[in-house]
Amino acid sequence: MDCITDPLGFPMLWVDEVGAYVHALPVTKAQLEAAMTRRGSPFSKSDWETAQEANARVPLDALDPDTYWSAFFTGVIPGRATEFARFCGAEFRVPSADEWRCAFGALAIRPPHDAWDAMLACSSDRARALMERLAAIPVDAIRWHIGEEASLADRMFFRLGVMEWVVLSHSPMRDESERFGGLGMPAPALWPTLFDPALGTPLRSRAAVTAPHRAFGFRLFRERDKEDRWGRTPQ
Amino acid sequence: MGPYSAVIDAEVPASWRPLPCPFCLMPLMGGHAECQDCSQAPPRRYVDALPPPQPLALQLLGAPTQGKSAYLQALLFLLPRLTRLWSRFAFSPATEDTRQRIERAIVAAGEGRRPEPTRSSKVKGSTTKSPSTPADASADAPAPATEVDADAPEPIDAQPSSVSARDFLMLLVYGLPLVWGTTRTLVLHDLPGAEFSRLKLEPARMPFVHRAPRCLMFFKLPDIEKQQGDAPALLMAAYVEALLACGIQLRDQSRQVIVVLTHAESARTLPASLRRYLIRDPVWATVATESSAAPHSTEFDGAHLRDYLHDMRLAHDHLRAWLSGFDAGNNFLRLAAAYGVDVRLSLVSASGAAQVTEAEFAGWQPHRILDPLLWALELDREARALAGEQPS
Repeated sequence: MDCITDPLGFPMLWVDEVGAYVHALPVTKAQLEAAMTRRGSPFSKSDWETAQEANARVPLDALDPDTYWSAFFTGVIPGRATEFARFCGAEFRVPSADEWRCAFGALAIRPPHDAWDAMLACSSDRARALMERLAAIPVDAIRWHIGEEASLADRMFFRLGVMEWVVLSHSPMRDESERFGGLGMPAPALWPTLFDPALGTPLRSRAAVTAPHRAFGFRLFRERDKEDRWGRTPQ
Repeated sequence: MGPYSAVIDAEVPASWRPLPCPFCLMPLMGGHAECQDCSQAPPRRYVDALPPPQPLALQLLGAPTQGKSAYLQALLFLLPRLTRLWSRFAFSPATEDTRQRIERAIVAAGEGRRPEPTRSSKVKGSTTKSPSTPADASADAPAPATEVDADAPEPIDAQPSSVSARDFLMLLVYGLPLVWGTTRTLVLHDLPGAEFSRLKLEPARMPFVHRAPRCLMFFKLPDIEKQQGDAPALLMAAYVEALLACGIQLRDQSRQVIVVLTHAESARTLPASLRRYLIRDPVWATVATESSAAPHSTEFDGAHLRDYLHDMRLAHDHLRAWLSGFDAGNNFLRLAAAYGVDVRLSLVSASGAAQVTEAEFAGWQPHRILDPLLWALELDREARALAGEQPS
């Protein structure tokens, strides 16, 4: 399993079908907290307060099937999601709708355990503690909610996580609500929906691109480092 | 017994029978310019259609905020996309009002706007029969807008007036699977929810209540879950009372109520099997593709349709068991059984997501929206089969 971490110590899994690393979880409040402490960070207390208003934080040891979604950074408008990607590095990006769907499709047919263990192994202590806390939740949640066995995509909260921002168009001529859309099936407590991530067009929301919506968050994709002329990738 | 046996002798072959008036279901006699019973002029597209399209007439019953308007908006939004479901499917609005409603529904659902509640079309200061003229009812004539005082509160104690053509949604539907009759006229009679809030139905305002063998009743599922009141049983009692007032004996003439449980996405205690049934909607999965030019990979007919209807029946059984766990649901089901009314349960989500604010998201994703109509078509097919009629 090819796993790396983002600059904040949270794991990303290589997904061959997309040709990119994919965050193990939607971006969490723990990542926002870590980003806020970095020198020159564009994230400040106001971002934290916005996230708190949208979806109040719950301490790590209180995360359970009734509160787990509060670990995720939601109430994010697309501009802040792309800012977060820039902060993480030039290789990071908010995925396109096709990339997101492709990753979901690929991970939905993978058995969950090996890749999850590999991601745990490469995580920072803080990320590992959070992931271990969340690990069993989607298995039961998916079974209770939809009556299905959880796949790797489910353990990575592609379903019952957050509504994830995806890029629909890079054209600056378009309105923000036409450039960004939502994919995923958010946790019912954040927003009760019947959205099947594999179906339909991405959700467009004029409201959520301008004002924080409690169900909208994001995860980042990362390109593999370019090989040098001898075919080596920098470590 | 045929579905319209109250008004049409089932022994007479279907092709020999006079066409029923789409507004009151009484036979159209002596030419089709005007119905002798309700004085409405049937739309030309209806009377001129060949072969004569049998109406599938449904009265919509539901108190305010129960999801009736949202359901209709989702249905009309989905309608053009059904051409992706059946390779011969086509539809045509039979009236100008219907055409305008389809246009408005497609725009509103596409932009994520909630539907306007159904407005009364009672004619101001008049309780006489409808003023519609043949020209008004024809497909090309614009609807008279000045006669309707849409913003005025509905005078509930007003004298019952007769039907108005504007309350009907009328569609000619072509290319359905043969078992249901390939060409049908779908006629939905929709009145404002306020008409039902008094829980006394006025048969003069709702001709399909007593003349059509089945109706749609709308209830908001989260209200039943929260054990808020006993509205379902009260509406059932009002329905039966209206039938009895019209001299319908339920022992002799069976009645079927198709219950439409709305806002299903917001139900908190729905069993996983029913939530999966909602999410995995093959109709939405087929029509959700972006391109209308997509080839018909799977025609929604034959084995696919049989599987769908099988699942729909299973969902009905699961819903019945689940509803029995709530006082309001239990009372409704037992009352229907006591009256001898056959109840079919369906579960729908008009937008696919709970809407907190106006235009919260664009592009509704209706789930299981066809189920109530498929129930109606199935029950109609069974009734016709019992009457020995062949689908045409």
